[in-house]
Amino acid sequence: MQNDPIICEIRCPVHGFIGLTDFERRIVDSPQFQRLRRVKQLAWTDYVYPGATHSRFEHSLGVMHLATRLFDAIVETSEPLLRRVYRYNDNGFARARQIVRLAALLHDVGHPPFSHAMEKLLPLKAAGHYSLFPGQDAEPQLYEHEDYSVAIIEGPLAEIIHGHASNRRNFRIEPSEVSALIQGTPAGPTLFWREIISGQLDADRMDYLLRDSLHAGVSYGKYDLNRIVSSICAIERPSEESEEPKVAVMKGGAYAVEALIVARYWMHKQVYFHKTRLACDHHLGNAMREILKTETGIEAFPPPGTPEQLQSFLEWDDFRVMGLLARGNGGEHGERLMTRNHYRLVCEIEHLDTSLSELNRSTRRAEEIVKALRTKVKDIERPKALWYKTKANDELILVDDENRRQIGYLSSFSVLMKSINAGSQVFVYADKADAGAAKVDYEKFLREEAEKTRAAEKVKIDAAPNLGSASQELADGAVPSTQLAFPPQGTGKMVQREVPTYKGVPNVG
Amino acid sequence: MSDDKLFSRLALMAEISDHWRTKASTLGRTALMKLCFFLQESRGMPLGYSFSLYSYGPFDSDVLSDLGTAVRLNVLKEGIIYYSSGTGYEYQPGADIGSARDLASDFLKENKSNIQWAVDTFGNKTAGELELLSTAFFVAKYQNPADIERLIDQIELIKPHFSHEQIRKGVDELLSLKLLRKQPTTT
Repeated sequence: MQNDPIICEIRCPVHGFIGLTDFERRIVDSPQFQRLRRVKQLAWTDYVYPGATHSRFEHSLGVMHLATRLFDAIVETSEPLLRRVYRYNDNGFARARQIVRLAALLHDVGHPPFSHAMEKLLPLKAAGHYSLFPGQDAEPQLYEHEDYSVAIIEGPLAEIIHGHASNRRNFRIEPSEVSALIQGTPAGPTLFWREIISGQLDADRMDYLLRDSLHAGVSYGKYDLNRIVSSICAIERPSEESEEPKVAVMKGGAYAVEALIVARYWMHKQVYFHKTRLACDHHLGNAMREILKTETGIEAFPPPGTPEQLQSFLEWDDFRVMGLLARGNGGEHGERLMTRNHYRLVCEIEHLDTSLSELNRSTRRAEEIVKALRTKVKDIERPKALWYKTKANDELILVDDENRRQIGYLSSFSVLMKSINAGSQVFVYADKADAGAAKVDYEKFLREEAEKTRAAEKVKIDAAPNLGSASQELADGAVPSTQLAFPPQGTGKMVQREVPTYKGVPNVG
Repeated sequence: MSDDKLFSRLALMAEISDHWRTKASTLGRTALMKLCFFLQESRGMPLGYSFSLYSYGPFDSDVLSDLGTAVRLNVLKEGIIYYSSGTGYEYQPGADIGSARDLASDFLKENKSNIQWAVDTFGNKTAGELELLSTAFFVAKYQNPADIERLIDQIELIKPHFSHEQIRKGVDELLSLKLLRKQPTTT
């Protein structure tokens, strides 16, 4: 069995030409996939970066293209291992490649309008009924966009997948085999390839970093894609760690992977968690709640349970929401979006996590700040900690370029990985009219906090023996260590103050 | 995710590492991942993870993120182990394990017996055995196979490393632990 021929190419601003087989073009031409043209990749981010108006449609094509490159590279470097463990022959590889391409193409087909910004409005799953499991689930969970992708693949797209001549003749791929790679359900040996659809080093994030960076007009998301592709392979791990092969990177590509992780960190800092973007997401969520309530009577999207419910979900796209917003159906928050009268950032509270007690203290401090700002606070956003998902890249295994022996995890070699981990932020917002006053309250809180700290220091120093007059100097405002201090007004120079040294008190800096 | 949820997860990892000291084997990443999986999915502990299936069993990258956080905050101590065919990590209680316990004392109290159960039940398993058992449980729970034989068929496709007999033995073990029922319900 050979790969199907490419019958058309689509020009992509990131990857150049992306080829499609006839089988794939039928899927791309389906109304379910074409809907992705009307779902923006980054929601309202174009209020900050005007170029960021690209869609899930072009991203999905890009993910298919990259997943294929990764697949081909892994087969090229690791073919004997895959043949031995998963009993692949040439036909098996061609079939797995087609499943990977379809899964990559369709991984986002179930996104709600405005992508991730609306995921909080997906409904709760009904309590599961399990034929062989006698227990109960811990907590009810919200549907995720992957659940809708799976329902679309196994529902309206199943006919295209089953019915295409090439699939009937050559591959005999079942829709459930495609959806298994997206959702993580049993798929036989093909499950190994899930790592390049949704894993430590997957085509999804490789594409969105480059694409979002390009359209936003920033350089933060760039990294050496070709080096990563040329370094990727499959390995067998020590049996003490696992029985199954895993995707790994040759050591020569470690710096390119490091660059990808740093790019992801920067993109989160500068684009995805931009203060205005977060405020817009807040307004969009509330406006959409209002719209759904008016249109459907329920403040959530329909579940993907029945074909009718799924069709009802698919009728929601950005165009429809924008039309309803333009007609004033989004309430106060919709109006704020339309007039760009979004909430304004009052303060960004650093959430330190250098120790458990510090993390706990930071949490309490954030609560005190919010309390001090009283009624002026309109919204508090705590984007999922920046390091949170990034940290999981530690799992990425590095192998020797020559003999493919596992030599450790990326974190063992990367000082960068360790240093980008600390801290996250809490964003506090107020109405535009109140933002100035709220900032004054915040400054007042900081001053009072500094005074309390100084008073506590004074108590400590007074209680300490052999300090003599030094305690009084320190309490009166002497600078306790070498530091740059702001100059007296008008001098225009930073001055370095002398470190006060006190008898019996070593300067430990 | 709230800080309280994070504190609960860190305290759980701390507690597992402490209980694990009575075991002969080392506590590695696979064991921690699969214990969190079983505790949430079979004992109903509200950990808030979202596991999905990979060829090496149920996995959620948030568990690794929490593990990294636990090490950075000195709740766990991480060491590298050198095997003949590569390297791995081992985990032991860290210097700040007491603080972790204090911050989630109610959670630990409520789940004391669950944690003890998990360590007692799975503490002597190899990484491969844990991958097999957790995969079998995941497939049984979320794929609703018609019966035990269909379950074994599905696992054989995912885990070609294991023989039919090994898979059957794993499924029997889950049955004896009452994590699975032999006769499927149809309602």
